Amino acid sequence: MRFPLPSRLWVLSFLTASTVQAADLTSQSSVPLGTASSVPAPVYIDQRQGNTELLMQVQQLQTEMQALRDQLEQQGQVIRQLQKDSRDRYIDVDRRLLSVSSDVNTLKKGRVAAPEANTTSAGGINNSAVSTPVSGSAKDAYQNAYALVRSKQFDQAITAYQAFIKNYPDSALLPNAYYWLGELYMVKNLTQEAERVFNSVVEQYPKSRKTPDARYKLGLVYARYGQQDKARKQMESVKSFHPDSTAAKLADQFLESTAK
Amino acid sequence: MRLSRWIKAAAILLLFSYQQAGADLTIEITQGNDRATPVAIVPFAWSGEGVLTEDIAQIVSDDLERSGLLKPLSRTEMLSLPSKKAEVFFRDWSLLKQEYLLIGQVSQKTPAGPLSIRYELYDVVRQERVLGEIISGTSKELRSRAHYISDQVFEHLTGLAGAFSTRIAYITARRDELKQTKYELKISDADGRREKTILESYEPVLSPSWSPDAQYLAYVSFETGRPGIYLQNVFTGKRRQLTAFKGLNGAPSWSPDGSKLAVVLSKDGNPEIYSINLTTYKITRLTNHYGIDTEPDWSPDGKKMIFTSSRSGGPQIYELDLATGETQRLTFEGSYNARARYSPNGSEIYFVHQNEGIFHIAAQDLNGNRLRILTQTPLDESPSVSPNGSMLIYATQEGLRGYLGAVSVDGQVQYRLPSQLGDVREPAWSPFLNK
Amino acid sequence: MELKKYSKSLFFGATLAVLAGCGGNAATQEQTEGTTAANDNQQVAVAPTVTSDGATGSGTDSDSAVSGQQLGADTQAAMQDDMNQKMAAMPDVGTIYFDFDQSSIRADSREVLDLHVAYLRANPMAKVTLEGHADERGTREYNMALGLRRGNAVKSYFQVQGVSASQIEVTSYGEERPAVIGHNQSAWSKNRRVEINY
Repeated sequence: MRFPLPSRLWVLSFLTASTVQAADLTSQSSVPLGTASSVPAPVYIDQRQGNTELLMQVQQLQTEMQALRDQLEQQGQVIRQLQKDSRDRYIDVDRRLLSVSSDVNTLKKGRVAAPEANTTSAGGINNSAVSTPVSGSAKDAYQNAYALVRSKQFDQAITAYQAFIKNYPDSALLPNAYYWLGELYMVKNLTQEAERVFNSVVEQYPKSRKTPDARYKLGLVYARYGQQDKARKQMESVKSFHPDSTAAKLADQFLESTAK
Repeated sequence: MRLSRWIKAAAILLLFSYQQAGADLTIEITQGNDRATPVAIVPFAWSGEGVLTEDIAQIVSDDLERSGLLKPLSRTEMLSLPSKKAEVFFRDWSLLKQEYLLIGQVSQKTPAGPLSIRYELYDVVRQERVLGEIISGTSKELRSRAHYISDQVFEHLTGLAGAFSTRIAYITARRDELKQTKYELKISDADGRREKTILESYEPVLSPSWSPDAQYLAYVSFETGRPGIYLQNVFTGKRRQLTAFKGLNGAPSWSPDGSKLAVVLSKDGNPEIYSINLTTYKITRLTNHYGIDTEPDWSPDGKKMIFTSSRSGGPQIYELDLATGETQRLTFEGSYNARARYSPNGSEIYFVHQNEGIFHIAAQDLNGNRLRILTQTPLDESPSVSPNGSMLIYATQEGLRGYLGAVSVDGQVQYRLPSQLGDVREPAWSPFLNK
Repeated sequence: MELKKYSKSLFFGATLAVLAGCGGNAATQEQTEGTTAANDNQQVAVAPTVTSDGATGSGTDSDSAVSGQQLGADTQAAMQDDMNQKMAAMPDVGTIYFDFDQSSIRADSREVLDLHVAYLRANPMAKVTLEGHADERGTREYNMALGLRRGNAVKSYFQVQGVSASQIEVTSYGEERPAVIGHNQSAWSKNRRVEINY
């Protein structure tokens, strides 16, 4: 829109003043304001104000979009994590089922060979960690601590496991608690603490389901110290002590990846 | 206006004089690894006239100690100072619980002639020589030769390539008598010694980045009153201005093959990442978002790039696949994660992470996505990885003064290189020099 | 050798020029710090004056237009004078502040910005440099970009109000040029800023 120069200056002074004087404006009827309204001038002022409001709104929208994007990305990450967790859990259950069914098979064979064996419970033969019953509250405390690990609240998890170990010294889940405490120490770079608890799993609970894993983790501890040879030896020992365990497979991978 | 051009060209104080400015950085080890392998490094014998300007064994000993993986024996505890096998009594060394022994000799046949340096590494338990070599050099090259020996011994004992012959670039800022801040771009050996100033300016200088051949530094200088990206040969001092766009010219990062430079420009309005082909000077825009996109770093294979973006509000690290253009967010813990660098094997990233208002250096592996905090000091900035991937150097502050800290990537070993003068910032560890 | 000598002395001369130049900079720097400190008081003093103008700056819609209509002729004339003075005068407050890691214009900055808009529109030949800054926390290049975005936010604000883009230049010094030196909240809040320089 083009105004004749004097009126342009006029409008300009209005715009900067942003005060509306309707009487004066109507006297400037030659100005092609582009509107027949009886309240003409505010169009310009409003436009400018409107622009500012729009800018502020865009600013706000952008900030909100960023916040939404943040949420979306966070959720995407949580979903990925959950998928991975459920896959891991499936593999874990599958592994346990396999071992149970092989135990059952052994049992069946045993029954054929020695009928008196059927009086022994599967747990007894299995040497599994669940040899003593787990009390409800201990189990809850353990699950709570484990939930903290899952949600990556590592510091709280450490405290929770330490409390668990103190409060339930007789729980069958004790080696598991030690093991997880070791894992957490590894995350927090408290390697020596980790070494201590992994060692106590291996030494005090040689038959725990967590022992092969703790042995493997000790290997990683040594690797972290830079003691490559000791780490490799440890991995070999995982393989010889627990040939069919997942830990043995992991140990194998370690040995392969560090092979010179 | 020829004159004004002249003045502009001379309006910075460029230093190409390569005299040693005295060692500004000295090393203090703050945390070591108590499982380090003990190794005795015996002072090298000297056969020649006068005295040697450098103590090779001491340099090697300091290098190896800094790695945290080896633990040199204090000289005062040594029972003898052998320099050849005939003088070695292994029982003495095993009594001192040493696993390895390094001995050597420097000799000069004619005054001012070349030096010959012999070094030998012995396995104390098996009582046999496991490493040995005779190398030559001039008296000026003694420090370099010592770092070379450190590299050989370190690699033999740990299986890791030694990074003692590398260098670091960093920026110092100091208020002079006139209360102006003087910025200096400096280069030193990895141990902080043999420091040289390669650029001085009273306008900000920042973001030094090494070319993959360790010959050039790219950096940002405000010497014209506006930021520009400059490339400078660190050996000849020759340099040129690469960019002078309106607005930002920042965060240069060299592609691993040296053919491109990633930079941040705001020529199109908003800070975005661009790639400049250093042969054709073609500029390609890599990001497009109304938030901030900055601090690019190329993956070691050159196929990806990590960068800081505020597209989700606060700064977070994203990874861009350069072939597909797909972008993926990498960091999720905390509201401030910025200036990430890949590890040399590309499996981890190191970055600045804010935790409860405090800025630390953190590491995260790219598979497990686990974040580990590596440093304890507040206001930690600018992590830079050693080319062998074992250590990080970073800038931090104590009181009102900045200094450089180093930490091993597992967080076990820490040492610092405090500056004696002013503020030290933005360290950049060079790639291997002879690749 | 003649040439070399000449270039040497030129170099020295240039060095002096730079030193002198920087000395000047340092002085302005200190001055800005001075005004920054004073600004707080001024802002308090300025604010009531603006609001007493009623429609000025933030007076938005037809309500104020109506009240304008109802004003007596004397008041109108007085106001017009006031306006003219405002237009001619360069605004006193040259710095606006931001929240941590934010580049959104704070509502409390709009009054000051509106004064600059008025000045720039009244003086189309005037050129303004918007110099964005950040506090020391966080990384340097991110802060450089943050400073620029802060400058850009002010630029957009000016532009939608009709200030020509050719009048505006945006630069950023990131965290390199703090107004106040110190590692505390009060220093940081003074350093997260855009300086509006003519």
